[in-house]
Amino acid sequence: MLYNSYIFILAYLPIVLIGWYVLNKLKVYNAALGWLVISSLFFYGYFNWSYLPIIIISVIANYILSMLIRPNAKYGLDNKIRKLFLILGLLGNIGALFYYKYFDFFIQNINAVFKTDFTMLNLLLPLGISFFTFQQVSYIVDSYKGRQSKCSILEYSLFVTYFPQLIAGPIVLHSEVIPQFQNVKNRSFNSDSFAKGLCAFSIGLAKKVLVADTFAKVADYGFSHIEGLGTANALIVMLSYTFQIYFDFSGYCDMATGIGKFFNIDLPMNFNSPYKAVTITDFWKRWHMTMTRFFTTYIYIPLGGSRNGKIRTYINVMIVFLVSGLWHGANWTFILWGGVHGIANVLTRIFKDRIDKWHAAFSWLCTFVFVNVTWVIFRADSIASAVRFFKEIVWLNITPLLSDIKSAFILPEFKFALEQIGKGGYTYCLWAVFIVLALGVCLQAKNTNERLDSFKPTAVNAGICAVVLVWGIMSLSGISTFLYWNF
Amino acid sequence: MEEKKQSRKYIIVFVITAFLGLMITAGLTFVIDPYFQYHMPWFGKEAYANNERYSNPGLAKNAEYDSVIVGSSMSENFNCNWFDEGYCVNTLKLTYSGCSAQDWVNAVTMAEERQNVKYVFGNIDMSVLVQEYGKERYKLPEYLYDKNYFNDVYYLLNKDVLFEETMNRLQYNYKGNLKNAHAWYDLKKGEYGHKYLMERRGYNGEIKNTTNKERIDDNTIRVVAQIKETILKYPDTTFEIFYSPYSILYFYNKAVNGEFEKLVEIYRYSIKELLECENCNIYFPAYNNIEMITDLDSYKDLEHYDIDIQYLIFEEMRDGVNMVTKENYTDIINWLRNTVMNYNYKELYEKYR
Repeated sequence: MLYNSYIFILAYLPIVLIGWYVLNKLKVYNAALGWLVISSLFFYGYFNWSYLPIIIISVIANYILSMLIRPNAKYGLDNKIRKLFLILGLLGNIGALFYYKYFDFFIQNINAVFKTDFTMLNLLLPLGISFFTFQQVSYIVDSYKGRQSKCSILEYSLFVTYFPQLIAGPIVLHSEVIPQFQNVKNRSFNSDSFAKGLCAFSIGLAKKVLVADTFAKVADYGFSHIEGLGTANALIVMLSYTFQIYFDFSGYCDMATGIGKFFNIDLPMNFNSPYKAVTITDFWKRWHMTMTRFFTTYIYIPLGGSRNGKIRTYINVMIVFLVSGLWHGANWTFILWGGVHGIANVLTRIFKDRIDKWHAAFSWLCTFVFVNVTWVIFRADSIASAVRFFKEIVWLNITPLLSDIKSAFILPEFKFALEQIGKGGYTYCLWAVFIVLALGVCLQAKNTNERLDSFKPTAVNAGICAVVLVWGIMSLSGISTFLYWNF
Repeated sequence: MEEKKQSRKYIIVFVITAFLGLMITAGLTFVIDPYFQYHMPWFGKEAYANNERYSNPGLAKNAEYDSVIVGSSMSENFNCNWFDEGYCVNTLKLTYSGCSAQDWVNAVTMAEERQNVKYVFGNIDMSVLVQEYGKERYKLPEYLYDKNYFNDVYYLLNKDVLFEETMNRLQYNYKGNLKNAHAWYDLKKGEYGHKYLMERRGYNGEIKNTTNKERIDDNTIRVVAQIKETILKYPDTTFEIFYSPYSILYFYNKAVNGEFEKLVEIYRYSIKELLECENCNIYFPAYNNIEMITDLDSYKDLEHYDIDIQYLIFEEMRDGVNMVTKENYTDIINWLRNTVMNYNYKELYEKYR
C-alpha cells in the first residue's frame, strides 16, 4: 500500500485512526499498540503477502537477541558470548539484506570477472528491508552497550513496523519513538498535533503526485531515450530528476510526518531544504538526515571518526560514502555516486578554509551543479548510460525541445485553466514555469518542518490545505491515451 | 485552550472543505458520466465516445443496441448505420485499436451480459491472434470493467477525467457519434498512398519459395480456443467475421522477415477451428481480389485500408460474398500463399516509382 493511493487515504488511514483512538479511550493501551502493529503488518503485506514472514521473523529474532546480549541481563551471559551473539546478530541482519538485495549483483560481478556462469536467484526484494534492517541493527548494537530503550515485544514490534516509517524511512532510533509509544499521555486525541498532521500530509501528497510525478515523466523519458537528446533536453531531464527525487522523497517523508502527527508521534526530520546547501558537507547535513545520522553513529564513529588524524578521517569518510552508495542499490552506479560524493566531501574538508571565502552564491552554484551531475550517475541504468548522457550535454548539440518533454508538463488542470482564459497556446511553456517554480520553492520557500514549527491553525490555512489535498487525491488516477494506429 | 479551539476549528474547516471538494468533483463526473458508467447522457446531451478502452464497458452496459462491431482498427472505420440498414439491426461499436483476443472476448461478453446480441460483426486477424493471452499490449482500466463499485474512485476522483472529459462536456454540446465513433479514415487526409507503404517496406528481391511448414504455438491455440468458446457460448448470436485484406506489401514484408509461413498456418488453423461454429460466418475479402490489395494508394500503411475497402468488406458480408466454408478454406489459404509467394514485386515497385 502507498500513502498516495485511494485505499490508504479513504479507507485504511481513517479505520486505523478510529481503532487507535477508540482503544485508547477505553484505556486498553496494549490492545491499541497491538492494533497498530497488526495494521502496520497489513500495510506492509498489502504489497505482497509473502513479505510478511520475513519481517515477522526478523522482528522476533532481533528482539530475542537484544534480550540476550544486554549487559547484566538476567540470563547472565558473559561478555564473550554476548559479543558472539552481537556479531551473529549483525551478520544475520546484514546477511539477510545482502541475500535479498545484493546476491544477484554479487553473482553478476563474479560471472563477469571470472567468466563463470552461476545462476542468479532473481529474488523478490522485501520492501523496506534496508530501513528495518538498519533500525534493528541500531537497536541490537545499543542493546549490547546497554543503551537500548526498555520495551515489551509489542513496543519493539511497533518500533520496527510502524507504518508511517516502514517503507521509506525516516530511519528512526528506538530512543526517539519507543518512549512516545509508551507515554499514555500521547494516546488521547491532540487537535494541535492532528491539525499539523493534516497540513503536512497535504503538502507531502502534493509534492509527490503533482510535482515529483510530473518531473518523473520527463526523467523517465529522457533516461530511456538518451541518444540524440541534445544539450537542452538533457539539461531539462537532469534538472527534472533532481527535482523528482527531492520532491518524491521529501514528499513521502512529509506524509510520514503528517501521519505520525495524527497519532501524536513525532518523527525525526529527514530533509532540511537540501538544495539550499552551499557546500557538499552542508548538503549531507540536509539530505536524508536520518541516514547520515545512522552512518555517522554506527559506522563513522566506530571506525574512529575524526579522532585518528586527517588521513584516517578521510578514509573513514570514503568508507561511509561508499557504503551509503551501495545501500541505495545493487548497481555500480550507486557505488560510483557514493564514491564521488565521498571524494567531494573529503576535498571540501581539505580546502575548507579556501571554500569558506567563496561568495555564497558561487559556492551554492558549485554545490547545486555537482549534486545535479551526480544525480545523473545515480539515476542512469549503468555507468555507460551516464557517460552517454553527459556527452549529450557536453557536445553542445543544439536541438529543439522535444514535444514529449514539453507535453509531460501539460497537466490537464493547467491546460483547462489556460484554455478558459484564451491562452491555450501557452501550454507548451509550462515546462519553464514548472522548473522555475520548483527551483524557487527549493531555494526560497520554507520546508514542511519549518512550516510546522511556525504553524498557525487559521481557517484560511485549513481551506488551502484541504484544496491541496483534494487536488492531490484527484491526481492519483489518470487516463491513458492510445496513440497507436496499427491493428 | 484558545490554541486548542483554533486547532479544532482548523480540523473542522479542513475536513468539511475536503469532503465538499471531493463530493463536488465526484458528483460532476457522476452527473456528466463521460464514459457512460452509470447512465447515458442526461439533460438532452448526445452520446459522444472518444476513448474506446474507457467508454466501451459503459456503452455495453447502458446504450441501446442489439448488435455490435468488435475488433481492431480494421473495424473502427465501419459505420454502424451500414449494418443497421443492411441487417435491420441497431448496432453499437465496441472496437479496440490494437485489439487482443482478451479485448475481443471481453467486448462480446459485456454485450451478451446486457442482452441477447443478434449479430457480432468484425475482424479476427493477426492483432487478435498473436498477442500473448494475458500479456496484452495495452492495459485496460479494470475499474471500469469490473463490478466493484469501491474502485470507481479511480473514475470519479480522477482529474484527467474531470478536466479532459467532464468539464468539456459540461461546457460544450458534443454531437453524438456512436454510430461512427473512433473512425479515423479522414483524420489525416493525404496520408494515404503508396509512398507510405514503400517507406516501410522497400523492395527486397523476389520471395524464395519454401516448403517449410511452421508449427502453431501454444499461445495461438489458447487464443483460438478462447474465441471459439466465446462464439459457441452464444449460439443465438450470428458472428460475421472477416480476415482483414492487408496490402500485398504486408504479406511481402512477412515473407521477407521469414514470418509468412507462420501467418499462413495461423490463418489455416484459426479458420478451420472457427468453421466448426455453426453460428459463425467467415469472410476473406482479399480472396480473388488481387487488384484491391495491390492498389497501394488505398492504404495508409502496410495494413490499414481506406473507407472504400471498408465499405466493400461490409457489402461482402451483407451479400455473402467471399464467404469461407469448410469446402473452400483450403483453396483460399493456398490462393493467399501462392499469390504472395509468386507475385511480381519488382513490377509493383517499378509501377509506383
